[in-house]
Amino acid sequence: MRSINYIIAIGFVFVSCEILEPVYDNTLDLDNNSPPALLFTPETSTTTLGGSAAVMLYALEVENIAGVRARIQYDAAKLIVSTVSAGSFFTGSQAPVFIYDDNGSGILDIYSFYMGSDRIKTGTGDIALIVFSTKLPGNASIELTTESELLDENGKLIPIQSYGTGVISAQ
Amino acid sequence: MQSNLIQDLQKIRIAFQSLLLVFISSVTLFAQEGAPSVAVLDFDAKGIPDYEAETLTERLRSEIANTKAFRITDRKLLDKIINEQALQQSGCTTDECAAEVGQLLGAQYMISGSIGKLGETYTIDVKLVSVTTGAAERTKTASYKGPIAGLITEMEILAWEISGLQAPQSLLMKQSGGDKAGKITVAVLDFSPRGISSLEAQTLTDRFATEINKTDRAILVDRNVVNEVMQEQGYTQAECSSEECAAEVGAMLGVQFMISGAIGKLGETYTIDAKMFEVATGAAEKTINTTYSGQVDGLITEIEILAWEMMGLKPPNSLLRKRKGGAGQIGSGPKGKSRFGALIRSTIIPGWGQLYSDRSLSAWSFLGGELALLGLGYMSYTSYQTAYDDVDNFYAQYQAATNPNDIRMFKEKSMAAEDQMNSSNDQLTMMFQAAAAVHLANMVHAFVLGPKNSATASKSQFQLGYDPNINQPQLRFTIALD
Repeated sequence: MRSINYIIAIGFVFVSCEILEPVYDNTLDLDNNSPPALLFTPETSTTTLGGSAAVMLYALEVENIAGVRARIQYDAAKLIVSTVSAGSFFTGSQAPVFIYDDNGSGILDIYSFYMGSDRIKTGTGDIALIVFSTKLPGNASIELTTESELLDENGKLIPIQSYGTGVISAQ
Repeated sequence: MQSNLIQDLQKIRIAFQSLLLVFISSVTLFAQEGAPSVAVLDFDAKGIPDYEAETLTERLRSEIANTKAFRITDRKLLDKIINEQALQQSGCTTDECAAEVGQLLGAQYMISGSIGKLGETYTIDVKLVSVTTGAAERTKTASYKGPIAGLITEMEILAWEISGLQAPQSLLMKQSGGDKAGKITVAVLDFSPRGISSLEAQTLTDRFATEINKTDRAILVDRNVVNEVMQEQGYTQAECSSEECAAEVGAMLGVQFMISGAIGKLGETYTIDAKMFEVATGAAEKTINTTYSGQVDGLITEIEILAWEMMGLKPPNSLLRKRKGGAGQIGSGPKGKSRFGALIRSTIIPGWGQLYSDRSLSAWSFLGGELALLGLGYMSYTSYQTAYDDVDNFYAQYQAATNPNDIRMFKEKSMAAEDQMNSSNDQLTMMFQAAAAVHLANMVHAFVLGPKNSATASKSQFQLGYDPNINQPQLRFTIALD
């Protein structure tokens, strides 16, 4: 009987509820990355060995840019670039100029230029959709190098504050 | 002339013989000095043989001698006088005849009577006649249906009654056929009080005697009869605490066994010692001791159980449950309340133990306090649940958003909801902890204070007891001054 009393008392003392502890890690959250920036979202993808993982290349809070050159370094031992397609950021009255170059040794260059009447674009949007295929199991990193560039309508460089990184995990 | 002389000499001889016999009988009955003398004439037999009437009359004579209320005149003398007077004992039925014979015997009283039979029923009529006045001083009658041997007991009882005394309990029990049921005859002396009041000891003894009766194993002598016999012997219940005295009283009562005992108090512990011993041998038949801690009321159950054990029987389950503090049968008597009972109840429902202990204000305070805290706790829980859902929802939208403005908005909403959730959870925990504290306090309160003293508070403030000094029941009224 005494033990029952203890259980009741202790039960009351420890009555509390589950607490959610969300981690605000959205890549496009301005608290996480300073604009203007070129970023990947999602930063982390998981797929099966031989499977594919899609990663969006985003421009974050850019102002008056006319084009972008993104140089992406990836782990060529584990990843293959399957497809690269244009995003919606530079889509206007005309389709953007969109070129990419994958040398197969771990460097992917993407070039995209706005072809709208006002020739510049401001804000946040996706530049390209890149689909990687995995060759080996494990984590493979992808990152935007500092050779990436944002250009205004006069061809001048706009400083980039944040360069995105990402991980594709093959299991 | 010669015949007259012979007749005179014969009368002188009869008178001399009468005087001699009266002298002898007087010497014989010297021990009964002061008691009036009585002669018993053979009862007139009506419907039964004469010898049976004579036998029954003889038993009446013997029993009258036992009463010590009269000195019995020797039967031989009586027969001689009757023969000399050319009478038949059974024929001398008138008061005048009886008075005349009595004068010749020198007796102060004469007893005569008749035994008749009507169908299966016997009738006995007895008359006590004063020789001096020739008038009937006392008459007694009895009717009896059964075998004629049963008339012996009836005659023995009539012997006491015609002597102006109450028949012994043993005879009355024999008359009621008690012995035939295989029961023992028992008398209970008041238990000696040691540390408790004599009134409490008497009340407990009464309860013990009542329970002895309930066992149906014994025929109990009425308390008043015991007291009367003791008074006749010059004792009071308090004085007759020794086994010798008890045995003497038991012999007078004609019982087989006597029960005596003592109830003592040592601190908060009560001890009950009871002994039943055989009157004939003085040997202890059974000795039982028990110890009890708690309210004095609980002794009632203990002594009731003791009564069953004294009779060599297992106490009823209802009594054993009462002893354990469980619920007894409804209406079977006051239930024993205990601290443990209060604790159990308050553990289950706050305030229940206090209600059980007759502390209504505390009971409602604890119950109300805990319900209020639990109510606030529930409100905190609903608030928490709403906030939790909001956090879950806004965080999902935050993760899915690609517009920095939307991301900021959802993040702010999610964080606000998260703050609300944490606050509500803290309140919920605090309310339940407070409720737990109140619950624990309620349990401690119920156990520490325990039930109120039922003798002075919740139960009747009137107590009925027996006062041996005035030989009457006594009503006691108690007022709590604290």
